Amino acid sequence: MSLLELQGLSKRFGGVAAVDGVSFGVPDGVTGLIGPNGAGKTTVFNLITGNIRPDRGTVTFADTDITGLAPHRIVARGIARTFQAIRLFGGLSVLDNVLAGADAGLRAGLLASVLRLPAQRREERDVREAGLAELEFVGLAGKGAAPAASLAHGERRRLEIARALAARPRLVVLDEPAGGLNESETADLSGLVRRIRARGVTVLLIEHDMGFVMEVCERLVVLEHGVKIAEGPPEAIRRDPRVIEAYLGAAEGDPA
Amino acid sequence: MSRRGAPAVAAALFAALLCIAPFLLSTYWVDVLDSVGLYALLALSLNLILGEAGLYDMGHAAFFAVGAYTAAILSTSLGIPVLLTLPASGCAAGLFAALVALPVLRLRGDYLLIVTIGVGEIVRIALVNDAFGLTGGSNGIFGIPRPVLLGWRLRTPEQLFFLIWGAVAVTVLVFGRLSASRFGRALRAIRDDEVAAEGSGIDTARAKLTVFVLGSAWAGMAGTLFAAKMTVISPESFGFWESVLVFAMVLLGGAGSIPGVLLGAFLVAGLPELFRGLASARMLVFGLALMVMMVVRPRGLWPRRAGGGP
Repeated sequence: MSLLELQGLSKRFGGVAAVDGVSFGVPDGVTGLIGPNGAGKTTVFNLITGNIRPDRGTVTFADTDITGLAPHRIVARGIARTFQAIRLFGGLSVLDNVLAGADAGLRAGLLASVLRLPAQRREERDVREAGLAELEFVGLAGKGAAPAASLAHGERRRLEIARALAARPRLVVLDEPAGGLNESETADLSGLVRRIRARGVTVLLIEHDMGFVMEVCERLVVLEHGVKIAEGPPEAIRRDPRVIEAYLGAAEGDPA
Repeated sequence: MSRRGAPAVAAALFAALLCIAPFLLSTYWVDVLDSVGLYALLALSLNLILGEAGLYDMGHAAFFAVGAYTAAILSTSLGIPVLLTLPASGCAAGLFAALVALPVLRLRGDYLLIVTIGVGEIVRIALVNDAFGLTGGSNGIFGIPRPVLLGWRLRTPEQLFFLIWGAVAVTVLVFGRLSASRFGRALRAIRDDEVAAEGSGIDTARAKLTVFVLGSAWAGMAGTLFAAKMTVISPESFGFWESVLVFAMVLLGGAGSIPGVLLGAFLVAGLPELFRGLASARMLVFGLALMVMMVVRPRGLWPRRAGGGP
């Protein structure tokens, strides 16, 4: 069984079936979830991360049913995420953004924090060190004290990834990580995704940049109108007539 | 070290000034400082809810009232020394906060503001109507015994000064440490983006409940000190206007910043006293001063830096 298994997931918004009976597995490695705009990709992500509850179907992670759990509990189980429209804590420092991502793994209570008990101080010191290491990992070393709101767009993307990694997840789900990045930033991102994978963290990502998807993903799942129309290695997907018709064909000559 | 050293020196100077103030000022002004200290306690506790977590609570006086009345009832009818009612006042206000939290904390922003105003009014009207036959209606409760601290009966404003400002010092220490801990970090993350906070692994429902109960319980304990200082309490001390003043102290001084909130308490509670010479126009001048300050410094007079400590 794969690390993450989706089984017959469905979600309707009003009369529209945003996701309709979608099943697929996410094995170790890098999996891409692709499809035209409005195909239901982000809805699938939100169903995985607990931001919305499915009408039907189950989400199984590491052989446990996590369907309908609160998002913070799903993070604690080992799935961390980034958002399509970057959502940082603008009033916090860069390092505090990362530390917020590590919160689910911290134990100190209110009393221990007020009394500054040794265990609490050790925990804070350790999490700070780990946070600085994550900043270095994503290429933001030395920026820890800056306000998050002061970062450039590409840096914000990387900070969001560092915040997700700070939760020490087994799976990260990245919603359009290359969105709004220029060519060299996208190339850096490919390298970063590979290094995340090299740490033994499984990656599931949504992306419209086909060059990026074909380069970093080992497997692809294709959605159209809330239904899965194909899944397999990138080379096979590239040749799949249904996919070409639904998505790649339409996208020809379209840089998005 | 110099960057961290300067605020420490400023804080020490401020504390030293406060310690000698009762010996230099007239009794009238010491009494004003006592009021400022009580407002500072309220503003610091609201700052946790409003400044750190970004929860628009404009009913803080309700919890202040629950604490003050708990202290008054226990000390007048059961003869419990008023300062020993502190834990009971805190618990009563905290329990009341937990009770209203269920409907209240689902809401955000302006909706939360309206509902907390409603909570404040409900409490005030219940007090006026002699709730449970315990609150004495619009006359309130009188004859609250003077506080006794280590065998000393505190009567004069100068003696109360050290009790009240000692409580402020403890509050600054406790809340400063909370703010610097993972709890404070989680609250500020919720303030900036609640969805992202939840998605980052923060138990947002629990953090919001905790901060609301803790801040309200603290206001309840401030209520005990208020009852002990006044010896008479009545519903008019816990109206909507009190909630607005405390709210203004937090926003004006600098939401999330402890020195800023203290400054806000001094300005909002102290300025009208300075303008007393203007007689009936003093609240008008005070209102104008507030407007000018919010236009010139919308983030407060002493805002919290994104990267720095409390």
